[in-house]
Amino acid sequence: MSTPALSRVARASVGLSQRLARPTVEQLAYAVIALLSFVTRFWDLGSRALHHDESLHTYFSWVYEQGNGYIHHPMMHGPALFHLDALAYLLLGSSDWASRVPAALFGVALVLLPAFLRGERFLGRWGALAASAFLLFSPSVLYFSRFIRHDIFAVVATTLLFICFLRYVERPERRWLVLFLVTGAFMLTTHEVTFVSVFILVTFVALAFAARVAPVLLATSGVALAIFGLLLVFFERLGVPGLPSIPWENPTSEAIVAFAIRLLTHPITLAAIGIGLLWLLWSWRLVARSKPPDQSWTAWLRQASPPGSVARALGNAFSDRFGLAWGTSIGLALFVTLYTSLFTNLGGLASGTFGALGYWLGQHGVQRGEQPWFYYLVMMPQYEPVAVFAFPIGAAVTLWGGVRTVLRGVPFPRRWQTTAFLAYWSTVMLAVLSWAGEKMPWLIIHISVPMCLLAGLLSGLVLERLEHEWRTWRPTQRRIALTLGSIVVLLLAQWYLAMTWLTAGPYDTTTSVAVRTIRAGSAAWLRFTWIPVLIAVILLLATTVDRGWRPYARTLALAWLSALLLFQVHAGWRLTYREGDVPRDMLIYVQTSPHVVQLTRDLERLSLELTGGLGLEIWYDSGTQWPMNWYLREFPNRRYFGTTISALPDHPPPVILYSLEFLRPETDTLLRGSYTAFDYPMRWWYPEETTYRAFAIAPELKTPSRQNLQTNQPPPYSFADVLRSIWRSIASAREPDQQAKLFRLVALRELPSPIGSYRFRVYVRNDLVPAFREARIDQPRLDAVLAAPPVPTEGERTG
Amino acid sequence: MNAADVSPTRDATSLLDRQIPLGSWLLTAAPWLGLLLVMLGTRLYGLRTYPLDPHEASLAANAVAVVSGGDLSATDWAQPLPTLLAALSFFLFGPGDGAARLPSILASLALVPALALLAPVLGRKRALAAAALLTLSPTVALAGTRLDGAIVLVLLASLAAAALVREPSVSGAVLLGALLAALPLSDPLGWIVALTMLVLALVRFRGNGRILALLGTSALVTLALVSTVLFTRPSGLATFLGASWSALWHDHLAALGHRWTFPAIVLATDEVPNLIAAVTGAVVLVRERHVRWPIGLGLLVLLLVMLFGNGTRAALVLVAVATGVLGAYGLSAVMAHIRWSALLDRWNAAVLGMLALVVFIGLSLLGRLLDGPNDSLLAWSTGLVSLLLLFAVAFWVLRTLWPRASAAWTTPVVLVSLALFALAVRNTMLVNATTSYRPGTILHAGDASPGLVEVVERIRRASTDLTMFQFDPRDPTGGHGLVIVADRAVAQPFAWYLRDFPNLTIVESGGLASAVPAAQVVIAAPNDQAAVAALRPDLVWQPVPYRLAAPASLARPDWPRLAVGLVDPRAWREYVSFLLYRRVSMPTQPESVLVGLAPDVAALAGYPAVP
Repeated sequence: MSTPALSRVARASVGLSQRLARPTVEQLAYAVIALLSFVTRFWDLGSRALHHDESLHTYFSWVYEQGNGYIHHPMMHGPALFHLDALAYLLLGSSDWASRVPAALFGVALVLLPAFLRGERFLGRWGALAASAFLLFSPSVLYFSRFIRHDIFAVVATTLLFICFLRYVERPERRWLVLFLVTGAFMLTTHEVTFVSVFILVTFVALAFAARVAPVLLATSGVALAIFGLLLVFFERLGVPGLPSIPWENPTSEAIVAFAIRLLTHPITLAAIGIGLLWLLWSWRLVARSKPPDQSWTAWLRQASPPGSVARALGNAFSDRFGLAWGTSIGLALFVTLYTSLFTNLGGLASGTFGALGYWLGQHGVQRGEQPWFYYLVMMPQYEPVAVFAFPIGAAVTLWGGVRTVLRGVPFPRRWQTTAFLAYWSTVMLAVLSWAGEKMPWLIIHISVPMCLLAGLLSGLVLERLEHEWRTWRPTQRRIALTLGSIVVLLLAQWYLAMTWLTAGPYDTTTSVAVRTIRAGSAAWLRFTWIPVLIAVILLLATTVDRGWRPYARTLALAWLSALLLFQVHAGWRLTYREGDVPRDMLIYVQTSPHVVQLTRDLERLSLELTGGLGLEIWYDSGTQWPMNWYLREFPNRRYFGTTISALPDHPPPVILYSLEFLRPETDTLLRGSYTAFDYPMRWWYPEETTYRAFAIAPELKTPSRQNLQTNQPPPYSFADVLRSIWRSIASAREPDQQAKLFRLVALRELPSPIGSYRFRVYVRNDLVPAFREARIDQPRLDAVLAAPPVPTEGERTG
Repeated sequence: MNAADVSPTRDATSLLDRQIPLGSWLLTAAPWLGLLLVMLGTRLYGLRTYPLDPHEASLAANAVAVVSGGDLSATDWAQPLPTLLAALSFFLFGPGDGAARLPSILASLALVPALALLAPVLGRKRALAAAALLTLSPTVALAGTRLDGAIVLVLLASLAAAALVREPSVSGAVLLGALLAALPLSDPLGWIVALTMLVLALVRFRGNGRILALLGTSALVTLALVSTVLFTRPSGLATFLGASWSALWHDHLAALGHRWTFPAIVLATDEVPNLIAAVTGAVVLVRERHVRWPIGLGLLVLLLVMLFGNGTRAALVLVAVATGVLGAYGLSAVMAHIRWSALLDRWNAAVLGMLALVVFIGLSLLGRLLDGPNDSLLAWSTGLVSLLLLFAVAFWVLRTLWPRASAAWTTPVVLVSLALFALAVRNTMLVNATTSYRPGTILHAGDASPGLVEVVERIRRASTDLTMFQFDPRDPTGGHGLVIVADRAVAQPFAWYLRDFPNLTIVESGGLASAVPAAQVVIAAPNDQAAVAALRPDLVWQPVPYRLAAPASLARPDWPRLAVGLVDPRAWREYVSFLLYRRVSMPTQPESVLVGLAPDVAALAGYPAVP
C-alpha cells in the first residue's frame, strides 16, 4: 500500500530538487527580488523613532497583548493592525522592531504580488517582473512598508482584491471569488481608504458592464447625474444650506439620531433618493426591453457578454452560490472576529461600520493638516519619477486604444483592459485623495502602487519587444544599442553633476535667514546644463520617430528608466535608512525626533545604574505622553501628571518630562530649584510653507492665510486665479535662483528654512546630573573586534 | 479573444523560460564562490573598527563635493577614480564610512573573477590558488577595507593583464585603453604600472596601428572623462595631472629607497604564508624549467616597490599580489603533490596525528628550555623531564607507525600547509582588530586611531545640548552649531566626521590666531597649542589619539640584532610571538592632536571644565 505513495513522494522530491537545480531565469529573478525585498524591508527596522501615530498603535497593541483588551475607535482606523501587532509582541516580545514586523511582512508580500498578474492579459511576464522591481525600488512604498500604520495592510489587500477581480474575469474559478470576498472583508478591517478602493472597483465594473451589455445605461446615468448637478446649483441659488455636519467627535446616540433625521429630510438627500429611484426604474425598463421576454436574466447576460468580459464575470459570480456563500461566510467571520476584538467588544461592529464612515467623512471638513489640493501632485515626482512618467503614458495608451476601437471597430489592444483598469485606479485614487480634507504622506502609497503596476505593464511591453529584437540583432546592432543606452545614462549623470556644481554657491548670510546662492557668474550657464538632458530626449524621440532606428528607442527608454531608478535608490535609501526620522523630506511630514529614542536609552541606563532595573520614577505630562506612553511602558514607576505641577513632593522624582506647550513660567521656576533642564525636540516637521505650499492657490483650505502664499491677492479665488498661480510657479522655474532652489531641494534635500519642532524639557534632579551625563556619554559607538588577549613578553617586561 | 495581437515572446522561447543549470554551475564555480564568500566575510569583519584615516577622509570629502557640487581639494584630486566610485556610493547610499569603503570591498570581491579571467594564462588551478592566497592575504584584505585606491589599482592591473593576453580586437583595445588610463587615475603609482603595461601592449600589438590608435584614444577619453567628472569640472584634467605627478614625484620617485624595508617586513610577517608559497613556487618553476615570468614579475615588483613604493599601502598590495601570483605556482604544486585520498588511510592518518603531537610537544619543550628555570628550578625540571618523556614516547610511536604508512612523507607537507593556512586565516581575520599591539604594525601605519571617534561623539553630544535650537538653513535640524576651528595639518578626519557642522573652519597653522577667538572647539597640532592657549587661556585641552605609526623596531630595524636573531632561538620565539600576536617590545603610541574646548562645551562633553 505504502510503496506507490512513497515512490510518488520520492518522485516529487526528485522533481523538486531537479527544478531547484535548474531554475528558469524568471524564477531566479523572482527569488532575487524576494530576497532583496526581505532585506530592504527588515534591515535596521527598529532604528527609526516611532512616529506619534505609530506610538498610539504600538501602545494599544501592547496593552492588548498584555491582556488588557482593545476597544475599536474609528480615529485609529481598523482593528487588523492591532491584532497583527499584538501577535508580533506575543511571538517576538515588544520592541520598536517587532512593532514593524507585520508591516514589513506585508511590504514583502506587496513586492511579490505582481507575480499573480503574469498572464498575457494582465501585466505579462516581463511586466510583472518590472512591476515587482518598481515596487521594490519605490521610496514611498519602501518607507511605509517599515511604518506601523494601516496603509500597507490596506494597499496589499486592495492589490490582492484587484488581482482576484482581474483573474476571475479572465477565468471564473471559484478560488478567486472566495479569495476576493475574504480579502474584501480584511480590507474593511484595515483603513477607511478601502471605501475609495471599493468605489473604484464598483464604478469600473459598472462602466465595463454598461459599455458591454447595455450602453443605454451610460446615457441614463449621465442624464441622472446632470439633473442632480443642476438641482444642486438650484438649491444653492435658493439658499438651501449644505448637508448637516457629521457629529464625529464622541457622538451620543441622541446626536446620531438627530443627525440621521436631519440628513434624511434634507432636500439634497431627498432629491438624490428621488433621482436615484427614477434612474433605476427608467434604466430597468430600457434594459428589460432589450431582453427577449422568455429569456432569463442569466441567459441574457451570457448571450450579451463574451467570455473574458467583466459583464460575463459578474454573471458567473452571481450564479456561483456556493462560492459566494463560502467567501461571504469566511469574510464575515474575519470581520466580526477582528472588530469585536476576539468577541470581547461587540460595540466594535457599530464603530467599525457606520462609526468609521461617519468619523472619516466628518474629518473631511476638519482638514487636519490642511494640505492643499496639489499635495500629492508635487510630492509624487520627488520620489516616484518612474510611476509619474508612466502614468500619463498609460492614460494616453488607454484613451488611444479605446478611441481606436470605438472609431475603427478593431479589437481592443492586448492588455487594454488591465491598462485601463490601472489607469482608472490611479486616476480616481489620486483625484479622491487630493479632494479629501485630510491629506497625509502615507496615503501616497495608495496612488504610487497602481502607478507602479502601470509602469510595470508598459515596461513589460518594451522589454518583450526588446527581447524579440535582441535575438535577431547582429553583434554590431547590440553594441550600438548598449552604447546608446550608456550614453544616455552618462548624459543624465552629467546633467546632475553640472547642476550640483553650478547651484552650490555660498550662503548669503546678510538676510535674516541664510540663503543658498548659485555660483557667481553661473546664472547664464545654468541653462546650458540642460543640454545633456535635451540630447537624451532628442535621442529618444528621434529613434522613436525613425522606423529604422525604432528598436533602439526601447534601449534608450530602458536607459532612462535605469537612471530614474538610480535616483529612486538615492532618494529612498537616505529617506529610509539614514534620515527616516529627520523631516528633510516631504514624505516624512511630522516625526518624533531621534533624540526621544536617545533619551529613552539614557534613562534606561540611568535607571539600571540607580535601581538595578527600570524602577526609575519618571513623571511626564500631556504633551509628551505620546510617544512616551510607549517608550516608558516598561518603567513601572512612570507617572502621567496631566498638564500642571503645582508643588513637588518631599521626595521629588528623579526625572520629569515637560512639554513647553504646557510648561508655565512659575512651574519652570519651581522645578529649576531642584532640577537641571535639558531641552530637546519631541516632534519636528517639514517646513511646508517655504517649500511647496506656494506652488498654487488652494481656495479649498479653511484658513485664508494658507490659501495663497504666492501673491497679495485676497480671497475669494476663481478657477482662473488657480490656473494663473500654477502658471506663475511653472514660469518661475526659468529663473536660475528658483531652478537652483528646486534642484537642491529635490536632489539633495537642502531646505530653504529650518524645520519646525514641538519641544520638551527634561528635568533631571540635581544630585543625579553627573550620573545622567555619564550615562549619556558612555555609549559604545564602535563595534570593536577583540583579538586574543596578549601576554607580555620578556622584552616588554624588561622594557 | 480580446486582444488585437499577441506577445512576441509567445512564439519563441522567452529568455525568462531559459533554464539555468544552477546546480552544475554551482558545482563548477563552487571553489570560486567559496572564495568570494570568505573574501566578503573577511572584509566585512571589523570593517568599521578603524575610522577613516586622514587620507581616506580627504578622498571621501572630495567625493561628497562631487555629489553635492562643492569645491574639490586640488591636492586630493590625485586619485579621481576612487573618489568618483565613492561619490557614486554616496549618491546611492548617502555619505558615511561604510558607503565610502563599499567600492573597495566590491573591488576586492571583483579580484576573484579577475583572477578567473587570467586562468587561460596561469591555468585554472593556479588561478584558483592565486585567488585563495589573495583572499587570505592580510595586506589585500586591509586594502579591501580602505578607501585609498590601492585595491582598485590592483584590480585594474589584473583586468588589464587579462585584457592584454586576449586576442587583439576592437573592443579589447578599447577596454585595455580604458583600463590602462584608469590605473594612474586610481593611484599615482599607477603611472608606473600603466607605463610597464603600455610597453607590453606596444610589443604585443606592434604593427597593428588601428588597435594601438583605438587603445590610445580610449585611454585619453577615459582620462579626460574621469578626471573632469564627465566634463563638468573642466579644470579637473590639469588638476589631476598636476596633483598626480606631484604625488608621484614627491611620494615615490624623489623618495628613492625610503621605507624600503616595509615590503620586506610585511612579507616576513603578515604575508609569511604567501611568501613561503612564493618561494616554493620559484623552486618549482626553476626545477621544472617551466615559465619563468612569474619569478621575474615578483622580483621586478619587489624591486620597484622597494625603490619607489615609499611603504604606501598601494605599493604593499602590489607586492602581495605579485607574491600571490608566484605563490600560486607553489601552492598548486604542493596541492597536486599531496594525495588527499591517502590521508583517509588509517596508518597515514595516525602518522599525521602523531607527527602533529611530536611537533607540539617539541615546541613546548623548546619553549620551556628557552624560558629557563626562573625562580622555581624544581617545577621547571619536573616539567622538562615530563615533556622529554612524552616527546620520547611520541617520537617512538611515530617511528613505529612511519613504515606502515603508504604516504608518510606527505604528512609533514600537510602539517606545514595546515599550519600556514591557520596562520593566514588568523592574520586576515584579525587585520582590522584592535588590541594594544595590533595597531603597531606596518600595515596600520597611517590609520586613524579608533579612539578618535569617541572624542568626536562627545563633541557632537555637547553640541546637541548647547545648540539644539540654533536653526539655520545650513543646519536645519539644529544641534550642530558649535564654532569649530581645525588646523589644516590635522583637520582630517575630524572635518569628515563633523561635516554637518556649518561653523567648522579649516585654517592654515598661521591662521589659527585670527580664527580661535570665537571658537568653541579648536583642533590643533601639539606644536601649535601654546600659541592658541596664549590667545585662549580658557580652553580645556584634551589630547586625542589621532594617527597610528609604525613601531620604531619595524620602521628602523636593528639589523645586527636581526642577524644574530637568525641563529638565536630566543629571537625565534619573539618572531613567533610577533607572527601570532603582533607583539613588539616597544609599542608605538599613536600620534596625538590637541582638542581645546570652551569650558561649557568641555563640561557637557564629559571633560573637566577647568583649563
